[in-house]
Amino acid sequence: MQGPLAGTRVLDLSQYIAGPYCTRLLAGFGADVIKVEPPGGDPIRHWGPFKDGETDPEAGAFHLYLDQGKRSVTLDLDTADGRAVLRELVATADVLVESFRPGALAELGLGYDDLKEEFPSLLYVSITPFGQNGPYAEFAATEITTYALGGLMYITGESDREPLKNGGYLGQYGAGQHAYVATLAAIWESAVSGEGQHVDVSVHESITSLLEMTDMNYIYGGEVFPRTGNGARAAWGIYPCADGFVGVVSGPLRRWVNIAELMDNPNLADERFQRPGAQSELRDEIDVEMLPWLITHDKEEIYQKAQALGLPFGYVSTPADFFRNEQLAYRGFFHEVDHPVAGTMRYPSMAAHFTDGLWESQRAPLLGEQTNEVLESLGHDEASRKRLSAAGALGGAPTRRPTRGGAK
Amino acid sequence: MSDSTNNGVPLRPGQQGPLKDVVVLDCSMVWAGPYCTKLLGDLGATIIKIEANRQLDSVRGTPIPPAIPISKYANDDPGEDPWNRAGYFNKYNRNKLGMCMNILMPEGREIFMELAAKADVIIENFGGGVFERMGFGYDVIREVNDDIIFVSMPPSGNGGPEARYVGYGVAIEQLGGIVARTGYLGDDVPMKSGINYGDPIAGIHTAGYIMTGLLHRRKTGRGQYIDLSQREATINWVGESVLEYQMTGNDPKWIGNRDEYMTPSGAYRCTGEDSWIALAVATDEEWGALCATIGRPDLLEAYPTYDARAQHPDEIDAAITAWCAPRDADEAMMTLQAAGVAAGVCANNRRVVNDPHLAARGFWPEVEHISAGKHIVAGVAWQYSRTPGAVYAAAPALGQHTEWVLREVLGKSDAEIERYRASGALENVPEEVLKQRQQKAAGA
Repeated sequence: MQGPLAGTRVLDLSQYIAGPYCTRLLAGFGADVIKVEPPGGDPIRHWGPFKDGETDPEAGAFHLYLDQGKRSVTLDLDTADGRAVLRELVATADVLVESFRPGALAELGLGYDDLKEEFPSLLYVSITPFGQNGPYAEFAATEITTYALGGLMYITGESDREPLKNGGYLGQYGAGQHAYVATLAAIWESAVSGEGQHVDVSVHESITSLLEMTDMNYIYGGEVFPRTGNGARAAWGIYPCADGFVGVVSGPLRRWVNIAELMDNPNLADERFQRPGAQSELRDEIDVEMLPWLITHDKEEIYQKAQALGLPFGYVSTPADFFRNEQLAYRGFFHEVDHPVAGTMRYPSMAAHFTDGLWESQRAPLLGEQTNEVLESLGHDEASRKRLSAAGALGGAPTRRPTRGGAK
Repeated sequence: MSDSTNNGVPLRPGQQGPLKDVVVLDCSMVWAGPYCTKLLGDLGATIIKIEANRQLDSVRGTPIPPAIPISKYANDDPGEDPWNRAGYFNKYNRNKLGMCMNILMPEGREIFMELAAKADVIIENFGGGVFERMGFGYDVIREVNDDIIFVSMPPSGNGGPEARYVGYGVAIEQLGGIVARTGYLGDDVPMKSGINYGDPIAGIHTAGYIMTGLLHRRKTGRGQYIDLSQREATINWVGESVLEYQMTGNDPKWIGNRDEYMTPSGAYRCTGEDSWIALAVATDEEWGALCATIGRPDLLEAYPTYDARAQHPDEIDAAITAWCAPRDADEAMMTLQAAGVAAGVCANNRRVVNDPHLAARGFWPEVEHISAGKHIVAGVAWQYSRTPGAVYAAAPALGQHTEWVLREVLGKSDAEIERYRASGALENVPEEVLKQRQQKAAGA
């Protein structure tokens, strides 16, 4: 299949999560993404979880997911030869994506200002914790740092306990998803103007953009928005059930009687519970009526029965639940992908159906798997590649490791 | 239809960015769809938002405000037209043109189809199948615009056993796997997010998919029906946990502010009301810097490696807590950052709005709203060196641009506009308010 981005070459110097997630999307839609890795590989290769807990840079969950569909080339940018090869690659690329500390690539002569004159159509996308300028630009950061300063952490959790970070790496994924939009918009414009530019994506601003109405409550009303935990309203949040937790969400008040019907409990149809504000004022009374039914029913069953009555329920789902759900199976959301080291697993694909398909799920590359073929395409014959390798420009030999039997 | 021509839709003063030749007809409401069109509008796309006086975007709040509104009103005052003054709506709908018309009436439908013929993209987020049953399915639109990018974004996608299911962000984040890994360490119950996370996740995805569809159209001349599942979008942000489950059989747990790969990791109380910093240590170098800064070289000596640190999180947390307790959060952050430790203030909304870094990057531009007056608003999420986007206009009051669009986009004459007005299809006072006025008049 020819994806919509076929013919677009992306040079991916980014590491960890945000940048690689952006380039994963570019690759899935057909771009030729060349992942340029330092000796030893993108550090995310060394993050677990791993199968059986055994560290393996080819088989970490983050790497396998984030680097899908890319080609891997190892280059040591600390060597002059490595930097020279990178410039040769830039000459063939439409887009460069990087996630280094601001200024780090400029120190190697590979900043945007160093490249723009020679490569005027190059789109240079930087994805960093706080962007390219400003007082925090050089701050050290992990997920929790940007989450805290971005404002999401303060409003998550309970008012009398510490602010809570969402589990996982939502700030990183969010920045990568935003960066994908920004990159395609730049490609859209550049295809007409023929000119490149520098696109500056900040994880911090990607998070701050998601504060819902809470920043406006301060701007308009001077209110410091509090943490409200799982909510002060009945039937609008997380409740226990027989095998986990369900999202009891009553929706508009006209739907309230359907909750009584769902739980086969006429007491819940009490007129008092149907007045505006009752779900806050009579929360305890309502909960007492709901809980006995909830804790004797399973989450998937509650979800299906509630939705059949038009109630916008959900449930706290884990990956095990994803694989049991008929809708996700019907949509074919998970694609089976084989990998020579990690074996066959089901990977999330794209979250939409397009008339023309467009997305392709492929495996992640082994470290340096395509170093030779890419160098060859640049005109480096075997002698030249040997010379580069001997000079240390390629970060050592590509990984040679036994692959599992039965792999493609 | 030719590509990239803007179809004669005029740009407004200040409208700029890489997408200024793209026209989007926006029938979406609340947050997921409007967040998508906010992103596109910030990059210069023309966004024509359609509402009706009997179906306002619900984040405008109810026309007759309840005791606890959905968000604060400008100057904390609902005024005469509260639906134009709600912070929630006015944040995410800046830069958009606002039309108010009843597209179920023949005159409204006529206008809508003329706009559909000129648009590059139509986006809707009514529940499964509703927009189609209203008479605006993809096939109907294609009759007037063969290469339209038509986007629908229900909770779990159109088609399949859950096609008609309904959902809000609060349930989508549960169904998408976020909540199962969010919660305080040791608690029996997980924790919801501070926002309806499912909405913006779906919105950002959709903006990217629209751009993908536009690039595909440029290459092939083909339009596209894009059927998004908000649940699947959310799962994409926990993708590695899907693989983890298959590798290890482990479903995710919640571990508070701790981290599987970093110790310490947490939030630590500082002086002042509800004031905290958060930090996590990723490398041994940062660990050494932290121990030196808080005056605890003994900890570095006792636990020099990650594996050693990971065995003693409580002791380490206690040491950091003791150091933070008498310190101002911003000062503590600056001291730790100067030593290379990844610390940040847990900023509340007041601190975010006044953040010096965001100010230096111009993240809070000012707009002037026809009813709410001058106010700042969260800015463009990216910076472009050559074709920057902009926040150039406040959110529309209900129906503020109906006539402008009829005149400037569709070239309608005064007489034609009068005919539309007389039909009642362009009524822009909310239905409930009209009824209330009638009752008052009858009572008087």
